[in-house]
Amino acid sequence: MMEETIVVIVRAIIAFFTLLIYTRLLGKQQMGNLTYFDYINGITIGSIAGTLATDLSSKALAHWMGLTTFIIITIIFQYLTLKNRLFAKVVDSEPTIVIRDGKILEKKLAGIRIKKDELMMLLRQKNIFDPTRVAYAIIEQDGNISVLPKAEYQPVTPFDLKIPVNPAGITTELIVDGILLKENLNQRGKDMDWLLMQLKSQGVQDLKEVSFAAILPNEQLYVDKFDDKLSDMVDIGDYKGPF
Amino acid sequence: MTRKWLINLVPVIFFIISISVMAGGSVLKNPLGENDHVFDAVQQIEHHAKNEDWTQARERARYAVSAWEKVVNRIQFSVERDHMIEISGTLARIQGGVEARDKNAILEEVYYFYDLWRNLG
Repeated sequence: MMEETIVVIVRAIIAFFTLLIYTRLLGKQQMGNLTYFDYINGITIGSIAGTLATDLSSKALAHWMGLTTFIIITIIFQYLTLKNRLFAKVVDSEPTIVIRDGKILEKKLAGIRIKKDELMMLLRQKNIFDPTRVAYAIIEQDGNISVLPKAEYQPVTPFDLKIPVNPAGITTELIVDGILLKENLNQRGKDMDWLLMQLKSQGVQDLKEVSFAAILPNEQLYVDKFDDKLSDMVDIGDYKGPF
Repeated sequence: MTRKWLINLVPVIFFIISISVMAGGSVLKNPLGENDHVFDAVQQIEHHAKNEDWTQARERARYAVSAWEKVVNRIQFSVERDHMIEISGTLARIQGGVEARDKNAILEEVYYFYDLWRNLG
């Protein structure tokens, strides 16, 4: 008779890789800007995939088609919201200003059905404990709050003090777990000779000794070896043993 | 360029294989060898039952059950579990009818089997 375990394993493999491919197709928008609808959609897609894997009382193909349909519609909506601004506003709603010049806009708050307690919680999560210091507070489509403090309460920047600064840069990984990422080395305009010289100056003879190495924004090489040789290891656990 | 081509090709191949596995029941239920002619065996049972040739009917019933076990192994990924359980139950009742030499019971189950088989996959 039917080997249920094997069938579940096969269906789970199909569900897993189908979901992997589809989430890559959906792109970063789905992951980064989760509106309430995106959130519900994601849960539904996951639920269908779970049923595809384990529900032996119905055909796998039916669930797979349901999953595919959801993904296709989501991709179509993504495309339409990119092309048509009005459609995007209808589907995803708009950000809502809820505080202006320290004053709570009650009607706007009621319109998006957020209580004043929730508003205060969102402000505290942004380290705002005094709403009078807020120039604008905006509830975004994904439910997060964006806060612009009044000018007098904003942090000072080097620009304000007319202090010259180095241009901002990024850190580029060069070695991960002993493996060299050659493309990144070329991208930063460096070569193997430079890398080996830098490693030698930090006491590293072989790439395999390096757990992680990266070029910092200031063009210095950061190296972390597998063997950290830290003499004073702080144990913050409450109990001895492998927990 | 080759890598990009490969990255696009692998998901396509995966989907082709997955859909084949999930939708292959209607094809794979058909006989592929010598010992998996389930539908033919049941038709022969009907014929033997009508002629009250119980020895042949018993032999065909045993064959049908063993043939069905072979077919189940390849269609189980694309067919509902309850559907396969229903067919197994029908074949068991046909066997019971043959042992009891109850033509009416056999023919009821045989025709129910035909309907299940038509909807299989």
